[in-house]
Amino acid sequence: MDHVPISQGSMLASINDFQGTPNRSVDGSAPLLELRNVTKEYIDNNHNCNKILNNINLIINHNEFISIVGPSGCGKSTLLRIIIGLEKYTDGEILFKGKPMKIDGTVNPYMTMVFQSFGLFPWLTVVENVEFGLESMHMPKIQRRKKSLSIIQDVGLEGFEDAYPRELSGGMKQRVGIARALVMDPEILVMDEPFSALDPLTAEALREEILKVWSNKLATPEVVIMVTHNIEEAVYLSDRVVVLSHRPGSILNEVNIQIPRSREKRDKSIYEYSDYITTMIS
Amino acid sequence: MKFSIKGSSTGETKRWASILSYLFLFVILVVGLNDHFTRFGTFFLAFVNKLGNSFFEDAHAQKPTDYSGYDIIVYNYGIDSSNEFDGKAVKNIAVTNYIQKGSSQDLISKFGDLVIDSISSVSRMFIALGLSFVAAIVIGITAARKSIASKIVIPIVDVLQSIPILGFFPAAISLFIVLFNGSSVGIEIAAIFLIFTSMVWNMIFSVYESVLSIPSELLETSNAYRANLFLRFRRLYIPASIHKLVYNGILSWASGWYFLTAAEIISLGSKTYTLPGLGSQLGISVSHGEYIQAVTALIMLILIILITDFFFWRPLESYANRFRYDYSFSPETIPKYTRRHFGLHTYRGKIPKLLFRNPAATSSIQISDFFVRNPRPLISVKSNKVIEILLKIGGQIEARIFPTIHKWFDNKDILRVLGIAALPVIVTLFIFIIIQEREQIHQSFLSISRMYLSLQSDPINAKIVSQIPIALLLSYLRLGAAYLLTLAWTVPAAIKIARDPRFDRIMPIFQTLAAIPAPAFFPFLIPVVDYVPGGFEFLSILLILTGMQWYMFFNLIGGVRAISGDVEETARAFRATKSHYLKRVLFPAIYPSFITGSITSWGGGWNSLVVAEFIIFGYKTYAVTGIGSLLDKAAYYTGNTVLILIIIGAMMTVIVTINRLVWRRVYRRVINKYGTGT
Repeated sequence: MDHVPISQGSMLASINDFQGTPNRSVDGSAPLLELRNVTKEYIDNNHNCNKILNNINLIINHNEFISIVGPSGCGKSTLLRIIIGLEKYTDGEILFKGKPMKIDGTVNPYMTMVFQSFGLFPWLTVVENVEFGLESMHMPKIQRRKKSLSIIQDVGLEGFEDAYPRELSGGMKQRVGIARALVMDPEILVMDEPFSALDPLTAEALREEILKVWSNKLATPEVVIMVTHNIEEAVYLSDRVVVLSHRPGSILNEVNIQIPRSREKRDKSIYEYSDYITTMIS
Repeated sequence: MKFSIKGSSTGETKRWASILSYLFLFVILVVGLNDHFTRFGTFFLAFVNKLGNSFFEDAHAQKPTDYSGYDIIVYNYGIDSSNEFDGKAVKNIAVTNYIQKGSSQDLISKFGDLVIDSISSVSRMFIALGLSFVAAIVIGITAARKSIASKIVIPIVDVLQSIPILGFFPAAISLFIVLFNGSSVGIEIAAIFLIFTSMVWNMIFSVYESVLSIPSELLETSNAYRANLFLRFRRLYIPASIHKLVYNGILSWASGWYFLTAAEIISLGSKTYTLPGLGSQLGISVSHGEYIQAVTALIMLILIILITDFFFWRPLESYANRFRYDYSFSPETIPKYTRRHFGLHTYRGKIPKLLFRNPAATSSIQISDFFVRNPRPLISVKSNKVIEILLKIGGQIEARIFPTIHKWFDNKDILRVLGIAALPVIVTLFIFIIIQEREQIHQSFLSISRMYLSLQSDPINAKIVSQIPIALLLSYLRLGAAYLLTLAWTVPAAIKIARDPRFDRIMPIFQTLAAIPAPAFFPFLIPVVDYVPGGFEFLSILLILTGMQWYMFFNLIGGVRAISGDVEETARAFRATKSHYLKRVLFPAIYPSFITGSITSWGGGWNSLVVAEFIIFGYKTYAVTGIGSLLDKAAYYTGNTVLILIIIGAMMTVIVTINRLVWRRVYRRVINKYGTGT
C-alpha cells in the first residue's frame, strides 16, 4: 500500500480511493488475511435464493486497523462472522497467512471476537468468563487464572473478579468481553459493533483503550477488524474503511484514512472523511 | 346505556350497594326458610334432574336378578343403591348402564360402542380443558395482580396439586352426584370435575408466572395510557399468558388422559359410578384381563391423541408463538439449527383441495409437511372460506359488543357495586342451596360421623391407619428410585435431541406416550411380573416412572431450546470443546429448567402412586406397601371418607414439607444466582 503523504488541508482533493487491492504489502510479505470472491447465499422458505454477500474481495495486511461500514442489513455482521469462521460461505475462498481456510464451521484459532451484546455467560463470574477461551484450550488452572487476573487488571476491572455479569454496568460488561478476547493473544481482533450498546462517555473511553492495545507493536493483536454504524468512530480509529453496499452486500469502496496517528477527536479531516463516506452509503 | 347513581359520591355508592345486597340476602333467607316457597326450589332442582335423566332415559338398564355367571353387575344410578352382591372375591366393578357387554356382541356394535366411548371421553376432556383455561386465567391473573390474593391462592393451589385424583372422589361424589340426586348428569359433571382437577393446577401456575414476569415497561405503558381492566385483560394479561398457557395445556392434556381411567370409574367403597368412555373401557378390560379389548381401546386412544394434537394443538401452538417476547424472523439471527430446518422442510401450509379452495393446495404435499412445526399456522387463513366467515363474525362481535363492555368497565360505579354485591350474593346462593339440600347434608354428616366411629371399631381401618408412616417412607423411596431412573435417560436424551431439526417430527410421539393412561401398561407389564427381579416392586417403580419422566423431559427440552443464540455463538467463537461446553455452558444454562422439572416430576410422581402401587389385572390384585395403595384400599375397600381424608392429610404434610424445605430453597438460590440477561 503506497502511502502518499498529503497535507491536511487538501485532503478532499486527493483521497486515495482505489478499487483494486495490491497483492503485497509494503514490506513484501503475504497479506495476513485475504478474501477472494467470497459469496454467501441461502435458500429461504419459498425456495428463493437470497444472496447476502456478493463477491467480496478484501486484503488485510499486517498491523492494520480496518472498519467495515454500510447500510443496515447489508451483511456486515455476516461478513465478520465469515472472516472469523463462525459462519460458512457458499463460494470463494479465504486465505489466512497465505493458506486457505477450510469451510467447516470451526473458528480460526488466531482470531477472537467482541460482541455487540457482550455475550457474557450469566452464570459465570467475571474471571470465569475471561478465562473461558483458555479453558477450552485446556490451559492448566493456575496458569490461566494468573493470565486472566492480569488482563482484568489491564482493562480496569480490578476488584470485580468474582462479580456476576448481572451486577455490572454495560461498559464494565464490554470490558469483560474485551478482556476475554485479548487474553487469548489473538493475531486478529474482530469486533461487531462493540460500542453501540454503550453510553457515549464509556464508548469513548473504550475506544481509546482499544487503540492503545492495538498500537502496542510488541503485543497482540496486530490487526483489528471492526464493524460499526458510527462513521466517525470508523474514521477516527481505522487505517482503512471498507464500505459495503445494500444487500446483496458487495464492496462499494475502500477509503484509506490518511490522517497521521495519533489523531485528534475533533480533527476537521475526520468529519470530511465521514461526510464523504456517508454520502457514498446513502 | 349509561348507569350511574345520580349525584352520588363514592361513599354513597358503596353504601347503596351494600344496603341493596344485604336486602337481597334477607329476602332470600326469608323466602328460603318458608316451606311454601321451598317447593319452588325443589321443583327447580327436580326439573334439572329430569332434564338430565331424559337424555339418558333409555340408559337405565334392568337389574338382573340372578348374578351367577355374570362377571359384571349392572345397577341403577342412585345414591342409596348399593351393590347387592356380597362375598365374591371379584372386585365389584359395575359396568356402565348403557351397554351390557357379553361375548355375543358382534363386531359392528362393538365398534359402535368404541366410537361412542371415544366421543364421550373426548367431549369430557375438552370441557374440562375449557374450564381449566377459564379457571387458570381468572385465578392466575387475579393472584398475580393482587398480592393478597396470591398469598391465599398460591399456597392453596400448591397443596391441591399434590392431592392425587383419588383424593377428590369424596368431593366429587358428595358435591355433584348428591346434588343432582344421583342422576347421570351429576355423574358426568363429577367425572369432568375430576379430569379438571388433574389439569388445572399447573395451568394456574403458568398464568401466574406469565403475568408476574410481564416486563415493567408494558405495565407502565398501560398505566400511562389509563387502560381499564377490560383493556388490560385483552391486550396485556391474556396475551402475556397465552404462550405458557398453551404449552402447559399440552402437558395438562396428557395428564388428563393419564388419569382418565380413574375419572371415569369413580369408586368409593361399595358404590361405583361408571361412565361410558375410553378410560373406563380400558380400566374394565384390564381388570378382567381382556387383552384384545384393552389393546383396542388403547389404539383408539392413541389415534385420538394424535388427531387432537394435529388439528387442535398444533394450530394453537403456532398461534401462541406470536406472543413470545423475542421472536425474530430475520435469517441472520435465527440460530443454526432452525436455519437448516427451514432449508430442509419447505412447508407452505398446503392442505388438500378437499378442505380448502386454494388451487395450489394439491401440488406437492410432502408427508414431512404434516409433521413439521412451523411458525406459520397449519391452516392458511387466507385460503379458507369457512375461516373467513368466522373471522368476519368475530370481527363484527368485537366491533359491536366490545366497546360497550369497555365503557362498562370504565364506569367505576358499576364495578364498585358489582364488587361489593358479589360477596353477599354468593353467600346467599350458598345458603339457599344448603337449605334446599339440608336433608342430604344431614345424611352426609351422619355418615361421616359413622365413618369416624368405625375408624376405631373396624379393624381394617385401624390397620390402614397404622400403616401410614411406613407406607409414606416406602413410597418416598420408590419415588427417589424412579427419579434417578428419570434423570438417567432424560438428561442425555434432552441434550442430544432438543436441537435436532428432526426432533419436531418425533415430538408428537413423545406427547402421545406421555398421555397414555397408566392402566394401558398393565397388560404388558403384569405377565412378566414373576420373571422380573424385584417382582411387582420393580414394576411399580416403572409405573411411577411413566408418571414422572415426561415432566422432566419436556422441561429439559424447553431449557435446552431456550439457550439463546448469543450464548451459543459466543461458545463457538471461543472454540469450546464438547466437554467444556457441557460443563460451562449447557448444564449451568439448563439448571433452572432442571429444578422446575424436578419439582413437577416429583409432583407427578406423588400423583401417580395411586395407579402405580395398587393395580387390578385379570381379577388379581397386585399391591405394594405404599401410600398410594393405602389410599386405593381405603377408597375401594372401605369407602370411608374420613379415612381417605386422613391418608391424604398425611400425604399432604409430607409433600408440602419437602417442597418448602428442599425445592423452594433450591429454586430461590438458582434464581438469585442466574437472574436474567447477560
